[in-house]
Amino acid sequence: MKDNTSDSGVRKQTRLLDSAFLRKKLAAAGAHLRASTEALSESLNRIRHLIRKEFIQIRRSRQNFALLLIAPVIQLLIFGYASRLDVRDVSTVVADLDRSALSREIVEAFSRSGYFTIKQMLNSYDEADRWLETGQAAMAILIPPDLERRIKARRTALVGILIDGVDTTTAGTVSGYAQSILQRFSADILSQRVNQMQGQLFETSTPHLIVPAAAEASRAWFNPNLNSKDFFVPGVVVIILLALTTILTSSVIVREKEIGTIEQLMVAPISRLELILGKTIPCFIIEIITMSVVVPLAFLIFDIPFRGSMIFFFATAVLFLITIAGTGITISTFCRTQQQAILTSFMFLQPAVLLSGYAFPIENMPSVIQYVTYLNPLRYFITIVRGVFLKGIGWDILWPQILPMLAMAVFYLGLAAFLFKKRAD
Amino acid sequence: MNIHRTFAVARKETRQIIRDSRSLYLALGIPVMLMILFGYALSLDVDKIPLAVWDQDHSPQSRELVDRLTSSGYFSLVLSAELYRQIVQGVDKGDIHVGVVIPWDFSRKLKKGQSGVIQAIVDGSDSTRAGLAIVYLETIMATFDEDFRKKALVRQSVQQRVNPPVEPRIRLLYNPELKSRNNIIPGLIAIIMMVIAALLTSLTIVRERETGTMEQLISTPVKSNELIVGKLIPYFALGYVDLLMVYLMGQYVFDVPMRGSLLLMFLVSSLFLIGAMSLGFLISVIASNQFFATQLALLGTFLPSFLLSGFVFPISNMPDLLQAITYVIPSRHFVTVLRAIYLKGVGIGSIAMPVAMLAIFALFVTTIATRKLRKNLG
Repeated sequence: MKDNTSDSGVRKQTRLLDSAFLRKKLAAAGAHLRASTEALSESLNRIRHLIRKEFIQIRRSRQNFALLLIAPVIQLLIFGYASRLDVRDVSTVVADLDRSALSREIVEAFSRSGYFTIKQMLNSYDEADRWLETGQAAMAILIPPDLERRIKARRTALVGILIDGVDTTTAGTVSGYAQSILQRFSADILSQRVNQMQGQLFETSTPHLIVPAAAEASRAWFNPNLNSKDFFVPGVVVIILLALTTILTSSVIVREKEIGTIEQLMVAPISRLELILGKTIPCFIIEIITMSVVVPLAFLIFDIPFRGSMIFFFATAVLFLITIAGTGITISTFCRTQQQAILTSFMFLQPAVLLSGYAFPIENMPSVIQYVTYLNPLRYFITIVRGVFLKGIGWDILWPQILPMLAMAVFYLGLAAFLFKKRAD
Repeated sequence: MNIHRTFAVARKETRQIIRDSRSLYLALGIPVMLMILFGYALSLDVDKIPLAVWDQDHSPQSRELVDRLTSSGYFSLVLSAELYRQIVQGVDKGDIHVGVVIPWDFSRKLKKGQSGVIQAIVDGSDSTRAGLAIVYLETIMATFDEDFRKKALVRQSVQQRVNPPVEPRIRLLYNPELKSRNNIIPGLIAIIMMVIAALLTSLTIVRERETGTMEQLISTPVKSNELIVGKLIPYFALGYVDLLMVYLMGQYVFDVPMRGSLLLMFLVSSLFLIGAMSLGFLISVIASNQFFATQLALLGTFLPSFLLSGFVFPISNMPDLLQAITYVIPSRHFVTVLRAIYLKGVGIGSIAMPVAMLAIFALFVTTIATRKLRKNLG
C-alpha cells in the first residue's frame, strides 16, 4: 500500500513536472519559432536586397542587358538553321563522253532523284578531277564513250562515280544513292530484255512485264519528313540554356572576387547561404525569362511539333536549370578571375554538349565514353526534351531520365554549398 | 612603332599569363580535351543499326533478303518479331531504329510478276541516322532487285551468264575509308585557334579596364599599335604551341594523313591566327566588362566557327542567306584550306581564293582594332 501511494505520488510529481516541463518547452519552442520566423523573414529580406542589387547592376550595364536579350535569339537562329545533317543538292559535275540516249537517261535519273544538282557538263575526265580538288563539286559522274555500244552488245558498261570523301557523312549517303540509282537503271534494262525475250520465245505480239520490281516502302516515325530541324532544334534550346546558365552563374560570383567587392559582401551581416541565394536567384530569373522567350520562338520560327505536356516540360526544365546553376556555383568557388571562370566553364560545356547525343549519337561512342555520358545531366534532359517534343511521351516512359537528374541536382547544389562555405572560411 | 616599348608590353603580358597558372593550364588543356573528344569519342559513322525483322512470308526469297540485310554490316538484327506490337514497342523504347516487315505474299507476288513490297518502319527522331538507314535499305533492295532479274533472265534464256548492263564503279577520293576522324581533326585546328583567340585575347584590354589598371597604361608613353602587337605576341606564341600540339596529336595519336606541305599549313595558320586574335582584341576594346566580352566572343567568334564553317554541318545544306553569311566567317575559309592541305595535298594554287580571304580579313580587323584602341587611349 505504502509502496503504492508513494508510487502514485511519484507519478503525480512526474506528471506535474512533466506538464511544467512541457509548458516551458512549448513556450521555448514558440519563442524559438517566432524567432526563427523573424530570422527567416529577415533573411528573406536580406536576400531580396541582394537580388535588387544584382538587378540594378544588370540594368546599369546597357551592354549586358542588350546581350542577355539578343544573344539567345541569335544563337537560336544560327544553331537552328546551321545544324542540319541531311543530304540534298549535292553539287555534281558530269563528264558524259558518250552523249547517247542511254547516257542522257542516266544523267536524268540522277537529277530527278532530287539529291543531286548538276552544276556543269564537262568534256573530259581531267576536268572532273579539278572540280573535285577545288571543292566546287562533291561528286562527278564519268560516262565512258562506249556506254551505249556496250549495253547494246550485251556487255557491261562501267560508269565511274567520283565522290569527295572529305565530308564523311555526306559521302556515305551519296555513294549509297549513286549505287542504288545505277542499279535501278541496270535492272530496268534487264527487265526490258526479259520482255523482249518473251516476245521472241512465245512470239506474242503483246509482251507483258513478268519480272517484278522488288520495291520497298519506307516510312519514318515521329518525324515523317525526316526534318533534321525537328531533331536538332529542341536540342539547341537546351544548349542555349545550358551555356547561358553556366557562364552567368559562374561569372557573377567570380566578378565580385576579381574586382574586390567580395570582401564587402563578406563583412556585411549576411550568411554564406544568403549570399549564394541572393546571387543565384537573379540568374535563375533571367534564365526562366530567356527560356520563356526562346522556347515559343523556336516553335514560331522553326515550326517544331510539340506533342507532350507543357507543364511536364517546364517542371523538368526548372530541375535542369537548378542542376546547372549548381555546377556554375561550383565552378565559381574554384576561380579567382573571370578568365579562369570562362575557361573552366568552357571545359565543362564542351564535353557536356558533345557527349549529350545532341549531334553525335551516343551509340557510336566507345563503351568507356558511353558510361561517362551517364554523368552528364544534359544527356538526360535532351532525351526528355526530344521525347516530349517529338514523341509526346511523359512521366510514365521518361522517369528513368528524371531520377538521375534529380540526384544530380541534389549532388551539385550540395557540393556547391559545401565548397562555397569551405572556401569562404 | 618602338620595338623596346612593344617588347616591354609583351614581357608584362607574358608575366601575367604565367602568373595565372590555372588559365595557362586551361589554355593548353582545352585543345587536348577537344582532340580527345573529337578524335576518340565522337563519330558520325553510322553502322550496326539495330534492326527488327518480321518475316511473315518464310520463303527462300524472304530469307535471302533478311540475309542480305544482316550481312551488309549496316544493320544488326536484334529482334525477329512475330507481332507488329513488338516492333512498335521496340521503336518507342529506342531499342530498335529500323523495323522491316516482309508481307506474307512477298514471294508469291515476285513469282507472279508483281512488285514485292516490304514495309520499313524507321525511327525518324534522329534524322541523320534515319536518312542513312533508308539509303542503306534502298541500296540493298536495289541490288536484290537487280540480282532477281538477272536470275529470271538466266532462267528464261538459254544463256549461261548474263552481264549486268551497267556497273557502277564508285571511288571515294581523299578519304577512301570514310573515316570521320580524318575530316574532323583538320577542321578542329580552326576551332581550337578560334577558342584561344576568343577566350584569351578578348579579355586583355577589358580586364585592365575592369580592374582599374587601364589608367596606368594610358599614362605610359605606349602607343596603340605597340600595345596591340605587344599584347598579342604572347597569345600568338600560345596559339602556336596549341597548333603544334594539335598537329602532333593528329599525326601520332590519331593517324590523320598529312598529304600536303607542312610549311604551307603553318603559314596559313599564322595568317588566320593574326586575324582571329585581332578580332578578339577588337571585342576587348569595345566591351565595357569581362562578362560582356566573353559572351560576345563566344557569340561572335566561337559559335560561327563551330557552326558556320562546315566543320561538322555541311554548308551546302544551309539556307541561301546563311550560306552567303559563311563567306565572311574566316573559319570557313580556314577549314577549307586545312582539309585541302591535309587530305587533298594541294598546293597554294588550288586554295588561293580562301587564303586571300583570310589575308583580307586579318588586314581589315587589325586596322579597325588599332583605330578603336587609338580613340580609347586618346
